[in-house]
Amino acid sequence: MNKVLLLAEILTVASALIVGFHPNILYASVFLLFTFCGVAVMFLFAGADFLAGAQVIIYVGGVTILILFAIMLTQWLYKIKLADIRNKMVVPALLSAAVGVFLYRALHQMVAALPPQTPEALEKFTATPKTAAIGQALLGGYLFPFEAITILLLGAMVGAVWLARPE
Amino acid sequence: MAQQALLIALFPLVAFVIQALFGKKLPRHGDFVSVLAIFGSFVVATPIFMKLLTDGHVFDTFQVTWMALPGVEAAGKLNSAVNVVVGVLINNLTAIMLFMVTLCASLIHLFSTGYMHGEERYHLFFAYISLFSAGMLGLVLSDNLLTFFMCWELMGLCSYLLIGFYYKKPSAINASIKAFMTTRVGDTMFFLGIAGLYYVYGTSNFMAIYKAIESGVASNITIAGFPALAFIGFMVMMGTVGKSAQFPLHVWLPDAMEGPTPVSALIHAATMVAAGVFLLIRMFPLLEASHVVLPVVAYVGAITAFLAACIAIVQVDIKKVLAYSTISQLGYMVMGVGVGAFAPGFMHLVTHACFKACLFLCSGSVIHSVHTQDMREMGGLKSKMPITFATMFIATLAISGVPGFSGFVSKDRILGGALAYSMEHHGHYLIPLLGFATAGITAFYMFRMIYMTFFGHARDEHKHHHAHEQPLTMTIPLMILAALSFAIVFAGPTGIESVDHIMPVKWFDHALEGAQKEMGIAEHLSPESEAIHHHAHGLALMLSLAVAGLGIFISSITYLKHLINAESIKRMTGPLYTLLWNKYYFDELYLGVLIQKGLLNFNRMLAMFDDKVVDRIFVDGWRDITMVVKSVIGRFDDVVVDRVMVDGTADVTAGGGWVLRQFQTGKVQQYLVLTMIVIIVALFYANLGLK
Amino acid sequence: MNHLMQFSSSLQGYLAVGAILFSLGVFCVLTRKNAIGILLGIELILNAAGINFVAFSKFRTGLIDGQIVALFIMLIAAAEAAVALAVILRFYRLKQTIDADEASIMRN
Repeated sequence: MNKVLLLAEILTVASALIVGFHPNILYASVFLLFTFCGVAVMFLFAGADFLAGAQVIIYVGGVTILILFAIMLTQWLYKIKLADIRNKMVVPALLSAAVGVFLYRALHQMVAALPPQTPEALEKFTATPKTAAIGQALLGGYLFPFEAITILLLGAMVGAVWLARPE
Repeated sequence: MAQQALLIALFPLVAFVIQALFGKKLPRHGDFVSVLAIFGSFVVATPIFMKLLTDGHVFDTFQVTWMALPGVEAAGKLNSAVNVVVGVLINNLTAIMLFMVTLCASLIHLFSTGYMHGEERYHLFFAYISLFSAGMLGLVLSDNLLTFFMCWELMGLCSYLLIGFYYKKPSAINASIKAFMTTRVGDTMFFLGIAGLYYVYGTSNFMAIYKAIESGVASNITIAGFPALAFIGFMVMMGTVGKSAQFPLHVWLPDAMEGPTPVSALIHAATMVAAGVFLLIRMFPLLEASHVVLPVVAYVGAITAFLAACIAIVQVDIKKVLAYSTISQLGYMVMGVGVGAFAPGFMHLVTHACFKACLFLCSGSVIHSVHTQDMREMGGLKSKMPITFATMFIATLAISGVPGFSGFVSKDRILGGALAYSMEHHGHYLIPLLGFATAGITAFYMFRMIYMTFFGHARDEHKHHHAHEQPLTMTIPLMILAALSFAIVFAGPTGIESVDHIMPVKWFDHALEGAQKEMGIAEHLSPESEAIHHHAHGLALMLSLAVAGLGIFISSITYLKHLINAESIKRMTGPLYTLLWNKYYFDELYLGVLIQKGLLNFNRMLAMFDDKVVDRIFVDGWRDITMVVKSVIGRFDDVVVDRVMVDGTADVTAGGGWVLRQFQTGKVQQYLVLTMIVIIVALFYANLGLK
Repeated sequence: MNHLMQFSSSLQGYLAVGAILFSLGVFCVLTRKNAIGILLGIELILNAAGINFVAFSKFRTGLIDGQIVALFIMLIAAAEAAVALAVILRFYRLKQTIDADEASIMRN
């Protein structure tokens, strides 16, 4: 099983690289889809079965398709190829690399600070289905943020429709 | 009871507000609001008066603290901290006054609805007389001189407004200003008197003052070298002199006849001018304790009574006759108080209010009917206006002092008191002398007025032809007031004491005795003075009957039978006539000497002082100093404040803005670059800390 | 290889992937001229955050709270994507381009 996880991680990182560096936005969008899929598999291996499903449905089925539609609505495909990525890439590359390194280091400190789980507990956590527990939590202790999120979503939808309405 | 009594003053006040704000829009211009309000006051006042009649005594007070002025020490040590406490005092005097004022005012309001009908500013007229009624009733209810004075001034204001009611007539305007300014002289002194009271006693509450005077507190304090009580008493007397039109401040009252006739009846006969006398009566214990003030009061009253009566002889304007007779009668009251005939003085106030209101309203009825005030154009109205004639005749009998009528009772007692006073002191003979002379003259000129108006042939056919009796709203008040002119209302059937003790109806005397006891001035006559008083009253009865009869007789043979030609007498007494016709030249004296020679020169002097001293030295001097300081400060402002501080701040801000503006490229990604740099720095430091 | 597999299934592996996604997202946001490209970068960043939450949830706390937060991140990302795309459409209609540099009315 570790092989599958490793493959998924490689897929994630590789397609993310294409998203970051490919000048054609259409390609970038399509490879973003693969990144999302890879992340979904990683979620699955981390014992987040429900989240993996949600990832596939929301990102793969929703956001990516939305982005593709937006690209098709706003631009002629042939125009995009050359004009998308800037020429000055040194500073952004340095910056993002630095951010990544420092972030990893900071998180690593936290890893050391928190007590690790036993292998048996990890095994058990991965094997337990989470859907019921998440549902309970959303309508229990997390009810208020859940409701807030629903209202945010509703507002975002109405706002989006209003913004994109024809003149 | 005292709290409810407050309603008596509040009703007309509310009516005033309503009338002043919405009067014009209400049906009938809202006259019913004022009339209902004053009738409401009458209804509230009646039970208090009834209680006085049945119990023979009423007393109630109700007080609230208006202001607390800590740390003011009164010289008399009555109160160490001056709390200005205001409130309501209901006693026998108040009950009688309330009843009398509300009754007269109600009737006059009713009369006004007829008399003023169709006048311009009709609603304002009612607003003003409502405010006036509120002021008068508030004054009567006051238990202290402070609110008393406030109401006093309120009435002064209303008097001013109502005298000048016909504001298009220059004479009315002048009269209103004259009335206001003249009474101001008295009011200012009165206010000084109140200040003196606070200085001495730390209060102006009547009951507290009575108590303090009875216990002799502060009888030796002085104000500016004068004995304090004499000072206060004199100032209070000057208040009365202004308000009640006494010599030498009497000049405003005849001019006040420029106002509408109901106003003359209400303000300048029945109530407001009586307020001055009421003040003397309220403050009587203080006047008595000061020893020196009362004789002055008596002389002022006697002189006023006589002078005004003499002027009234030669007047031809019906309202002017009544105006001078009012001054004369007020003089009687003041004289009565002055000679210590306190109860008769107050009685005369009440009886006079009733019959003088009646007389004025009758004159109003006549004027309304024939459209002139000049008696020479009247005559023969008896048959045309029977009710007016009958009521006016009754009131005339009362004022002339004919037995059986109210005026006789009170006037006879005042004269008796005056006579007893001079007999007791073996001096001051001028006071009763002037009093009896005035009684005769009063009878003479009042009958002269009646004869000229109602008897004989019509001197102006046209006006006579158009004369007619007035509607019921105007005649009913006349009849009620005339009914109150009978002696039986106030004393026994005739008013002659020796006759009446068979059938005494002496509620008034009982009430006044109670009041005197309350004020600590109950009479304790020694046997000798008792004898003198008895003797004096007997003599006064004879004399007053004689002079009144003589006056009526002369009047009758001159103006009714024409046995004596008035014109030839006028010619015979040329200079005297001229003197009287010009009212002893008081107006000219005041205008010419006091105002033009004195006041204007004084003003000029003040103006000069202003110009030369205040302007040159103080104002200009200040200006020069200010100029120098200004230039120094200006330089400082310019260089330090403006250049360095203001401009500097602006430059720093502008520069900072310029620097910061360079980051605002409007490019999202550049912002993000900056954000990332900050995050990196933060994470870097976080890593350092963790290692 | 075995070593790599060991690392990949550990917490550090997850964090490494998250960090890489994060920096690639930042890079994408910084370098794209296109507004949609910037949106892609943002999606990457958000996913990186989600990975970190889920990883800590499994390997350290053993509770599902981290997953719930990741779920919320997902939902907010969806909302953000919808609004952002609507804004982009609007902007396109206004300027006939979606170049982010053109959106600079607020400059200086």
